[in-house]
Amino acid sequence: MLKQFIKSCILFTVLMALSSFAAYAEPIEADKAVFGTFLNTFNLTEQNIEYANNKLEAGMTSQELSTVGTLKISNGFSRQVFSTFASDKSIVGQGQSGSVVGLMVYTVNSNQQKVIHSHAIKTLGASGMFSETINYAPSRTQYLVIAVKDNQNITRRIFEITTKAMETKLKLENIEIRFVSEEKQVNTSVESMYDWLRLKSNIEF
Amino acid sequence: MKAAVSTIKIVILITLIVTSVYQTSRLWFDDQSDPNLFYRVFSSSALENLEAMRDAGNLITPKQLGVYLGQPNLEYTVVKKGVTHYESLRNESIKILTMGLNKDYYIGTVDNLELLWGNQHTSIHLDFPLEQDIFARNLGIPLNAVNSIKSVETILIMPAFRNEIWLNIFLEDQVTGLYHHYQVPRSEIVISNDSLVYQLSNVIASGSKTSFISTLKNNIPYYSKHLLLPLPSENNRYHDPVFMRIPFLSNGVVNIPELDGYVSLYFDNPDIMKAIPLENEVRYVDGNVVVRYNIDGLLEYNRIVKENTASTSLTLALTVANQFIEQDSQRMPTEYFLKTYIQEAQRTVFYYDVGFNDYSFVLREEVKQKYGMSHAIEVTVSGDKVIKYRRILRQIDDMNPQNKTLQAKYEDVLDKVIVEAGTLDVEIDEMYLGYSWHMDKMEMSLHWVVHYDGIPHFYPVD
Repeated sequence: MLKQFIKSCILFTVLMALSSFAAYAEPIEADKAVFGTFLNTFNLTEQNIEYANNKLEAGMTSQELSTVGTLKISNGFSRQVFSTFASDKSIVGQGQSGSVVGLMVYTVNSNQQKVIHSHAIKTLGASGMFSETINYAPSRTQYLVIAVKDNQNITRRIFEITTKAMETKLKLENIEIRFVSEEKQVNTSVESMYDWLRLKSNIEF
Repeated sequence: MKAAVSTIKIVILITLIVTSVYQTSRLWFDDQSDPNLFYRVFSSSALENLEAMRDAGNLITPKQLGVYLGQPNLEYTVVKKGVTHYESLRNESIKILTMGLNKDYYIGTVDNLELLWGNQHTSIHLDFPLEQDIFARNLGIPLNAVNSIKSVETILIMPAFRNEIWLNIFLEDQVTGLYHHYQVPRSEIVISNDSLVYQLSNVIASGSKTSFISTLKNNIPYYSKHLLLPLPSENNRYHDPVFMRIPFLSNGVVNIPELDGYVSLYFDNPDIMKAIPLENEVRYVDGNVVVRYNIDGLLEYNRIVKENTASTSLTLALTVANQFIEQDSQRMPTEYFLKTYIQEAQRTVFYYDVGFNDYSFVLREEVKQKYGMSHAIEVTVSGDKVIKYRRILRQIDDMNPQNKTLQAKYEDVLDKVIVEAGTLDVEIDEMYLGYSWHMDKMEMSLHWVVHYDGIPHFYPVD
């Protein structure tokens, strides 16, 4: 009983410490200029782009998650925090012509400083199409910031993404798991088959 | 006893005679394929030829073969003709179509294509939409298997992976834009299914690939059908500009001795063919063939035949056309891509683009006007003969090294299209990269070719 209490106390302290560190993470020296430009473009502060300050309520649909201001991302994410095996992701969406869209992927290093991994800022043209490929930092947790400036509104969304090595995926795939019996599979319809695929690998498509 | 010995002698003698005749004919004609009396007897390749013939006229040939990489990349890549896995990917996909398209496996039209984005599949884009009867006939499937589909242009095939029981086929109806879904038990097509799975994994494992974005998966408006658009890539390098020249010309006049060699190909009896030099043009005539070549590089072949009143099947006509071009391109090497065809009465006209490194040379309006052609090659077939052949001849002279990397950003092109069209209500039918040139210019550069309002529009790549 006592052991358990101490354990949870330690865990709590560690979590608190981590979250307080995260709140004050500054960018590393080399990235300060880029970081500054990005924040200025969207009138944001450092705290604004911390995941901890941008937690959304659970239960948002993937459509809601993928709508940032007037930008509708067509291949967005279904959760705010997730893991993926991907090394990059193309983000495609449509917004209002003239609005400015910014993407940034940053990680936090051991000194609790922000390190920019990839970034892009684009003003949407007549078609309103936005299309950009971002690279993920391999095998670690990172934050993706999507910011949109349209008219005078500024909207942002922060995702916490953990990348996993491809080897893990291959290992997982080689374990055979039967979720449903053969008889059930015969009746598999399109929707349920898709669910089944999702079940099989609980990660972002 | 005596009778037996003489029988053996006779048998040995006959064997010797046959062998000697065979050997002599080989010595005499070098090869069995030469026209000789024994060709049919000894040729075992007759069946293969038939197979090749059928292949040459088959309309189910992909213009573009896309592979969806599935997790984790979630984009497509395009496997080009002549690349390692191309043949087997195409063949297995077509086998699956032949066996899997069956009215019993037809589920209906689907709005939600989410199923597709979970796993690897092939996306086959045909040269042009095929009406249901032509599609069925070319695949060799009963017409009722595709009863509810008017015309097919895009086919998506997702094999069954590991323990899955079903494989899925989606056909895009080019007329309605709807997707028709077939769900086929894997047990019906085990070999082709597993082979396709294996080939897909090979494509994924193979090194650097250019990513293509799918207008369907990303739900990009402005497109009338599923298109794959190349994304910027460091691995994708291209030549720009490419310099060309008009062959068989020296100092602005046709070089007849040089041209003779090339033109002889078109005559049954080249020995009696004779060049007639005219102003800006050279003409060759024999009993039923006229060949003209002018200083703008336009070659025109006409064969006078008594026209068949019976109409020819599209497949046979295409076979004849393809073989004619194949023969031509042995003298004048070129890549060619079938673009469209017109069937009128007993004639069929096929239109081809020529190209280089898998990029088409696309004619601008001014070039079309000048030559009176919509594509670089036009072949008119009647019966089993080519009666008219027109081709703009160009030779690649020189080119800049392959040092430009593809920075093509399709969304920037879309912006320009919208501005130019002056409306957001644009429907793009085709969008691809191709070389084009301005009239009388002898250099080409890579452009985005965007078809909307029925005509191609050109936008620089960088």
